[in-house]
Amino acid sequence: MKFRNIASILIALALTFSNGCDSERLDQFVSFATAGSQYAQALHKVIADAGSAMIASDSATLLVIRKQAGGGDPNAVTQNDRLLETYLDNLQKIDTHASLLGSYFSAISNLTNGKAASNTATAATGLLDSINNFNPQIEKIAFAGKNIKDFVSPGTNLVVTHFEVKILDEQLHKAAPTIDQALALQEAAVTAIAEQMKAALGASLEVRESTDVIVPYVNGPPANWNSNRESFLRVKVTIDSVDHARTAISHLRLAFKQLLENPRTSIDLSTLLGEIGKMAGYASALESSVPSKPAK
Amino acid sequence: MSPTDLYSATLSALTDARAQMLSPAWQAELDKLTADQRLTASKALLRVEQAILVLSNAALSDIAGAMQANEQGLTSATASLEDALKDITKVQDIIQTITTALNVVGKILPLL
Repeated sequence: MKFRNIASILIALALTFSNGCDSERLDQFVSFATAGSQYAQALHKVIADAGSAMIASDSATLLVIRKQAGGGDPNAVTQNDRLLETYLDNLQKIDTHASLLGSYFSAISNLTNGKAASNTATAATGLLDSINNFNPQIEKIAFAGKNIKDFVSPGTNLVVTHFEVKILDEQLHKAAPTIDQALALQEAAVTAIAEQMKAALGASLEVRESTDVIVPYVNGPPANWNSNRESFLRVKVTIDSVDHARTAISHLRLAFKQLLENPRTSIDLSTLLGEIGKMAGYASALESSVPSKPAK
Repeated sequence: MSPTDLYSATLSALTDARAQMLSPAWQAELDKLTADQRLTASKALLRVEQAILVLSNAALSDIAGAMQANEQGLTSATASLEDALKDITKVQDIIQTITTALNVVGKILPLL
């Protein structure tokens, strides 16, 4: 009798602990999915800024060429426009891929309550199929000479441990390889983009320091000289911040792996959200650093 | 040298050349030259910029064979260019080494 009572208490404790763990895991999963959606949102700005950095670099170079040549060659602009279009098209694909991932994370966060309608699961599966079809296209995109695939660090196959919510468990078993690959491709793409973005910003800043800061100072500073100087310096100090996007996607991929593989994991969401916040902060810094027009 | 290293060395040398040719110090050197010489320098800068864009869009897997076939020429040209860039006052030398480097790159993938 005494043995039975002890056994009952132990079973009850085990069930309580297990339910508690699973509930905590589901809560973490919702937070992770929200972070994934936020990453996709923040990446829109980083991608836009990467394109702007490349255009700004080319524009600065063309302006210097025009000055040195004593006149502008329209063919040079047209030719460079075509080359930039290819680059921007590649960036757009990365952005669309991230958006699909963000939408997928939003969809699966709705599967955690166990009462999700079947059309929610169908929508998630539809997004998963789109990501699966898109992954090979992302692999082929080239940045800085390498296909995105070449930047991908090799990972191991994910082993999904059981989730109590059946509809979520089924979805994640199906989705794990595709989403892990998609996250790896995003990680690789952001690494490649960051490298090129730094080079492009470096080139345009070289020109901006001369045209916006030094030459106007020597010739007699216009009324907006201080604000132009400040905007130049602010972009300069935020170049390295593009690395936050790289850190954020690395954390996101790691969190996905930990959540799926270890039912008792406690993922570090604060660091992940902090990095995503810095991505957005970096984008804002760039936005506010557009040089002001000369005062009339 | 692996195709990846060759690619990186080439892109790095061209990016360094562009940075120098956008600098106020380079402009100051050009101001000492004739209009024709400045025009030549501007054309060299345009070719460098377009080569950077073409290389940036290219996939290494598509050009790896051609890079290895031109390994010696590329290695020598990029090293000469990096060397020439150390003395920005020698404008003609820099332009000459840029032309040599771009001629080799042009054998690997079509430049504009």
